[in-house]
Amino acid sequence: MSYLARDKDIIFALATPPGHGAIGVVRVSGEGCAEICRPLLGFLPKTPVSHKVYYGFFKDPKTAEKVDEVLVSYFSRGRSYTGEESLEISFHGSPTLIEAAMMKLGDVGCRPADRGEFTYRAYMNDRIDLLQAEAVQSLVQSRNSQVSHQALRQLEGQLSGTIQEIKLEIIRLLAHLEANIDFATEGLEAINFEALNAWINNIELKITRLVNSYSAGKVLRDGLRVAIIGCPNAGKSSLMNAILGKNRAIVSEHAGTTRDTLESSQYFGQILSTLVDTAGLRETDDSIEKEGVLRSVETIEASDLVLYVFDILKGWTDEDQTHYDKILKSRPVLVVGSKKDLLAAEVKVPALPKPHFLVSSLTGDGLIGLTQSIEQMFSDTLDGDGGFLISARQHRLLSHVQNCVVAAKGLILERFGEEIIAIELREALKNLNDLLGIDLSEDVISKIFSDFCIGK
Amino acid sequence: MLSCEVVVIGGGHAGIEACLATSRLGLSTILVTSNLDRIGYMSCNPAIGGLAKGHMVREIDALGGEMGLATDHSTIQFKRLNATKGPAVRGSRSQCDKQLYSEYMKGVVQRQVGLKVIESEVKSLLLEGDSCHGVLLSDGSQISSRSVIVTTGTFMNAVMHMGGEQTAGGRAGDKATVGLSDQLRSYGFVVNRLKTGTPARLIADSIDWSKTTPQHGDPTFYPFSFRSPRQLQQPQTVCYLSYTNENTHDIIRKNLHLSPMYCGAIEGVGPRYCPSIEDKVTRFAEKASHQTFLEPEGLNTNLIYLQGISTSLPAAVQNEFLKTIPGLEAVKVARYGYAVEYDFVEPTQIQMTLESQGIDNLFLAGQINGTSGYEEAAAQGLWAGLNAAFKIIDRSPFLLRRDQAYMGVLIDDLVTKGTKEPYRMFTSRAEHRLVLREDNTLDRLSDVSEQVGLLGTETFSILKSRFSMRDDIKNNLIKSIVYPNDATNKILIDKGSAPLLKPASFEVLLRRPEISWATLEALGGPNFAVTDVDVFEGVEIDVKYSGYIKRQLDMIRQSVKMESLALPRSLNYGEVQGLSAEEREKLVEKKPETLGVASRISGVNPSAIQAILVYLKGHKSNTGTGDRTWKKQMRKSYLSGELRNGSPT
Repeated sequence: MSYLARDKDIIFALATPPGHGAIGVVRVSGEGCAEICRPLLGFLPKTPVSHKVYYGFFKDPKTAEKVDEVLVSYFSRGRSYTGEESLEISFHGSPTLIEAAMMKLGDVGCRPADRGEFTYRAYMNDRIDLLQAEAVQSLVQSRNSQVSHQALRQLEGQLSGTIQEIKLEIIRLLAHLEANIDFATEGLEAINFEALNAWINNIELKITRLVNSYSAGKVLRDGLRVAIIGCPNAGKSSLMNAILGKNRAIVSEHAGTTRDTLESSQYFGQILSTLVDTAGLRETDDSIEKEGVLRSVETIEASDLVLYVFDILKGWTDEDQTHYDKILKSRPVLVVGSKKDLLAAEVKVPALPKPHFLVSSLTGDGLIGLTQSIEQMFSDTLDGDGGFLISARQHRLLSHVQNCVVAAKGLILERFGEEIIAIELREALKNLNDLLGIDLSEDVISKIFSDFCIGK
Repeated sequence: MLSCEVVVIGGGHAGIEACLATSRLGLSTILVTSNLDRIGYMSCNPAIGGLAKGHMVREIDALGGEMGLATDHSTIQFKRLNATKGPAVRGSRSQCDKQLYSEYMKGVVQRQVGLKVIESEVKSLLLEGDSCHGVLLSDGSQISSRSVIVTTGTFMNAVMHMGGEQTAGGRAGDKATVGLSDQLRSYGFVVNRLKTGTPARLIADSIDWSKTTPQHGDPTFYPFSFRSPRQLQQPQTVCYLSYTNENTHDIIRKNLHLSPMYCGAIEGVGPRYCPSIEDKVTRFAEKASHQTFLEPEGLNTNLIYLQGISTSLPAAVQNEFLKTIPGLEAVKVARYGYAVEYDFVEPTQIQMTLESQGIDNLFLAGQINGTSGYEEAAAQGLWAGLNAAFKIIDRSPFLLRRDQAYMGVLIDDLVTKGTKEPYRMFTSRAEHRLVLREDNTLDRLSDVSEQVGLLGTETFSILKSRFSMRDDIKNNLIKSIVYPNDATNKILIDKGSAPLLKPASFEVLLRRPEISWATLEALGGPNFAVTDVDVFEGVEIDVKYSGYIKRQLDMIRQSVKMESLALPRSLNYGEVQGLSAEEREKLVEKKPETLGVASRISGVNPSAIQAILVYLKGHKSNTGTGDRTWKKQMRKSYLSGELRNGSPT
């Protein structure tokens, strides 16, 4: 028996620990989930069989572009963890990729599960007993009151400031509309639609900026992935070692030593960054190397920033330019010229794309400039005055607010009555309530009385 | 010693509805009032209705209450507010002849079978253990009863203030009630203080009307009661508009220190929407003038009510600033404005039925619960009366949900959230405003009313035929087609609407915001002999709002589900896992009757609702037996007046 509308929603959540792993599993639960996900998982049969695993491509619902190769485990109603029809989708373990996939799940109508929601459903469907459920509930409660790490808290401070602004604007607008409904006879100025238009546009701008900030906030939440890319023997592994200050990668004279990718993490400022050393990009017949090269391509796709390394002595070749241009299409690239120590002082450095850095992994020359720039790049955007959305839940709720504001905008343009416009604004406010965990309805009434001189 | 089944203390707007309801349901009732002449007296503005308030008057009427009939009988100016705005925010307001209103109510009360009126003061309630079984009067005699409904208004420990003068009393010319609030306090009730104010009453002959602007009422009358005649029953009067100015404001500002509200002599929070002129002038200092309406208090009286200028400044100061108002240069004051502070019972201590939580068979209704307004009081009076009666005759409680009536919003807000200032109803308090309209009151409540039983059954058959007439019209609109031609399109363009490119039904056209019923008629609309404005307006509204109404209905269906899950009173929130300390505290304090009520408590999050559901499922066998009957009754009551044909409209 479901008492809450939300019990009928199709929910999803990451089932594997966050961060990088071999695979990442996203669990989806709810009646009709297989059908709803069909635009993403077209390869599923019309009537999937419970406990069977299906293989195929997870695709973008609109463009049909392949997102990842996946395995889907299907569980029919009554035979899953929650007791509802469920899917478990196994992706490759790249957080960026999984994040993108989850956004697409949201696009087709599923929503991120709240803490403890899978267990709640499992209990309500008699799949687990009360003790188990209560254990999870307590855990959920204590987790809710735990403090997340410093940087996140800071951001939440900034974030809540922006959300407060948006909230106050909506309340002000709503109060204006409501005053005109309940106190129309008291000599208030009539609604000026031009003013309303300007007002709502302003609010929309603020919200859109915030909703779009979700991906930037992700960097702080999930950390930065930096891929070190370049032609064979450009000095990638040396660079990685130099940055990390330890002999992590295998360095040798031959091109093509790093067969696989190697990762290691460290903090650039507040941001936990994972550096990924890759095999040199080149055509090769060696099958192991080929594998490594393929991985490089995947790594680029899974990264937030690319350090493109080239050998200063060999100079910036056309091949470099080609690779650089290609990568630049999809993500930021910093050009790093290595082996600076071998560069004779009087040799002119060729024209390089900016930003570029000339470093020596051997002597450490130029390294600090490079790492500081990386830190600066992302800290800058993070220190932006808007604040950033940290969690999927915030993103979802603020997207709802955005939708309502856009709808209200349309109604204002069409000169609909105040009571209709108010409906959309109230819905927006309700979502802000959920986000901030408070009841804002009294605020509207207070606003009416503080702004308008009314009353007999 | 007298005895009866129900005692009602106080003959104001709440008391009248309460005692009429109980006696009409066949329970012997005694109304105790300290002043027989003041039954149904309007303490403040001689007007009934307004946005949301008028809606409640219609609801009271639909259920068989009296306020609508009394108002229609004594209306001397009628206005339809927000007439040009959407149907959900149109309201009716009647300026009444105070004396006629009061005489009407007195007459009804005195003629009512089974109702006895006693002029006396109640000194205290007769309490035994946790139950109330009557009252003790000031002359030492007792009345024993099965329940007591307290509707003492603003009279408990009331003190009136004007400048530095203080007089005990709930209203000019009336005594205060002393003893009751102390008794309640001693039983553990939280009793706090509120204040309200009233403006001066002026002598009509001393006013220079030429300096004011006349305001006439509307030509079309929409009676509050569906049982009233369609025409206005009294001659209509004119009101007059004037304004304060900077001179007025200067005088007030210079004398603020003499205002009891400003020098802290009055404790008690006042209503924000009824600010005194001192408030207005201070908080909105940039406003050069404030409007005021001069309203005649009746057809045969010389008294003028000065609306908008409530004050408690000393008489001399009032005299001075009044004379700066255009038209009032030589005014004579019959009674000066004053403030009243009084005790009220924090309404979170009352159940949804308005029976108190701490004492059985004791019901509280009206301003004693912290509301302001005659309509709010009357609504509670009816609600309490019905519940007191139903409890005695062992029927399920009378309850309305927030989507069924403004009365539902009122009681739910009071009982669940409590109030810090005198609570007044606004349309913005109702999340289901679109479906709580004047025009659909009977649709919403006729089934409930039939069950309640205050009105006769013939009434309902008449109503049902009106509903089917509306459905017929709507179907007709859907089937009849408008063809695009020059004449048609010219009419549309004139209305600022897009011309038709292909044939469309009348119903589709009516959905456009700029098209009204009148336009349809101009377009050669379907031919019905529809003169009943309620009927075609209802159709117009259904069509225009249909998309949004559907959304509201979805929301309503959801909340009905939440309301149907009753929470046992014995639920031990200490055992519920997954609640924050704050949530637990709030739940223990409010003891919500249903899951829906719990979800509306401020600070209680969706995860807490989940936690409660988990707990209830696991502890199904642990609920007390006494609670089970109550639970069943609550559930039945909340679902009474279930969505008719799936829709409340």
